[in-house]
Amino acid sequence: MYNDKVIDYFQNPRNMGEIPDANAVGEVGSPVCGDVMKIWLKIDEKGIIKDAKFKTFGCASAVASSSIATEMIIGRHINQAKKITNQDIVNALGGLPEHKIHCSVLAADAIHRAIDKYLGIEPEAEKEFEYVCKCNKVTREQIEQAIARGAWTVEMIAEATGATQGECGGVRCKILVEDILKQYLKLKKEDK
Amino acid sequence: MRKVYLDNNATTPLHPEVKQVIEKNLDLFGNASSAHFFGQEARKAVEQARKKVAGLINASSEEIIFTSCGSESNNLVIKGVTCPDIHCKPTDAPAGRHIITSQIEHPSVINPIKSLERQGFKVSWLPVDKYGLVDPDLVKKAITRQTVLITIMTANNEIGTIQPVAEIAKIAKENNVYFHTDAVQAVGKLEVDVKEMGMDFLSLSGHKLYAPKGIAAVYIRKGINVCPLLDGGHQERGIRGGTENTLGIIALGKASEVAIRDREKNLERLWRLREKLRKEILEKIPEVIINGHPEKTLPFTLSVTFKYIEGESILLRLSANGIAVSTGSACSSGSLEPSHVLLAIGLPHELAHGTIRFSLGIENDEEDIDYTLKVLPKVIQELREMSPLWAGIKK
Repeated sequence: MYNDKVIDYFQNPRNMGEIPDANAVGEVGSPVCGDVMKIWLKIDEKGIIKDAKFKTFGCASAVASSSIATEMIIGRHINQAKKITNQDIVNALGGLPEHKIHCSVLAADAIHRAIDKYLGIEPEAEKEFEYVCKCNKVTREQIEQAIARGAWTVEMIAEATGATQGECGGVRCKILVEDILKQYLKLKKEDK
Repeated sequence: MRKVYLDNNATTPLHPEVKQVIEKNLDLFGNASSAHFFGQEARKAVEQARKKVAGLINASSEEIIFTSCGSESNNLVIKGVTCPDIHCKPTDAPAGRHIITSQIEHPSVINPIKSLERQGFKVSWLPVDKYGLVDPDLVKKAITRQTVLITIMTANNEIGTIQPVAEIAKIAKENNVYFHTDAVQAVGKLEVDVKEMGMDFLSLSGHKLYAPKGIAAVYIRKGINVCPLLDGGHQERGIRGGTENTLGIIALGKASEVAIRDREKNLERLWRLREKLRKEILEKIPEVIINGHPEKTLPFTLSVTFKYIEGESILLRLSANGIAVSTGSACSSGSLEPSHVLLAIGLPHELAHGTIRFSLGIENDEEDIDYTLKVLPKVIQELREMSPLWAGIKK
């Protein structure tokens, strides 16, 4: 199910713990969904991440994703760290099972959230408000949330959000939903 | 490293005596339908085994139909009694389009019923109480003139709760409705008597009672006719086509014989081990919940919720220490929805995610439990130290 690297980062997590004098903390996820990630950052005056630590409630891939994510940002400038995507994390781990990709999404989100907080950016202001499925008024954010909660096919997204299930029968948005999915699952597809 | 298998509700290893009988019969290749002596030798072995399986649940031989798995047995009953083909409709079958079942059945019961629901059947999905018990009064109230089948499992695979199936079977009988029970987790472990309990149909599976995978059976009360799932030859009275799985059947026969012989002995010994595990988990680890009914439970099953951590993490850390258990959450199987059983007993999502099932079997001994009790508190502690939720609780 998991490759050796994921198992290694789960069994021997690097940078697990808290930073008492952290100047940035990001927390994402929810216990209801089965994943909560919290990341602490120590950022110096030049914007370099001097230290990063994490705590995670979740499955093995959630622990491994957050652990490797902290390694990837230590020593980097916050502008570089903000560019890290979930795919970079999946890459670094050498791949995750399809239905576990959402763990890497959460880890990337946790880093971005921490840095945004440090910069004083409110999370709501980040994402543009747009309907992907116009019939049922489903936003891109709702679809991303559904993916983060484990939907990994268009059908599962449809069931979770109602996207593609409106009057037009998905004629307009099915391709958009597929695109969003592809962005998250790209690496896995390339593997095949 | 010590290896401790505590996942016997998922599947059991072969009993040494079952293994022996398989090895002895490897060359028994004849088709049980052939009239020559090769075939008749196989036929004899199949019928002897059928008698033993029937004996295990106090049925008669002609009431046992061999299938390939518990899922097939469940599907055969559910689809077989609701079949729209009037040519194979048993004359005395209730003709309605309503089914009563519970919310905590196995997917192999839930999904065929959902399929019927899509075809227009009405279904009463009965709730359970916090122990996972179905209320027979609710069953009674749910019956309509349209009700054709009531199906309630004998014992739950995840939390072990034993249902009042005899009482429900009686209600079914009084209302001229068929009663089926998925007894896959119960047969071989508990005394199951189809006559005394008044069952019309019962599913059982070989690999839950120390026989191999690929062999199972369904009890169909004498006088009831169901439509086959697999149309084919005359095998199994035409209810299940396909050349008999001779070796599997012989193995299931042996496993049944062994189960009757050893039942009392195992029950006592394993209940003691299970209770030791339960008590010491409660003593050694804070913030845990024991799920299921305190007494009306499978004697070898223990479902435990460890708060503030997630089940798959516990499973993999235990596995790395040589201990095999399973999670109550479906996280590892592709969906983030936790188990429908745990949600049905009222466990909130976040607690359902942190639930582990220990299921003991005849190979377990006291040292296995001691080893588990040595490893488990450390694993739980380490994972809690990693959890942001636990940090909040400690403060």
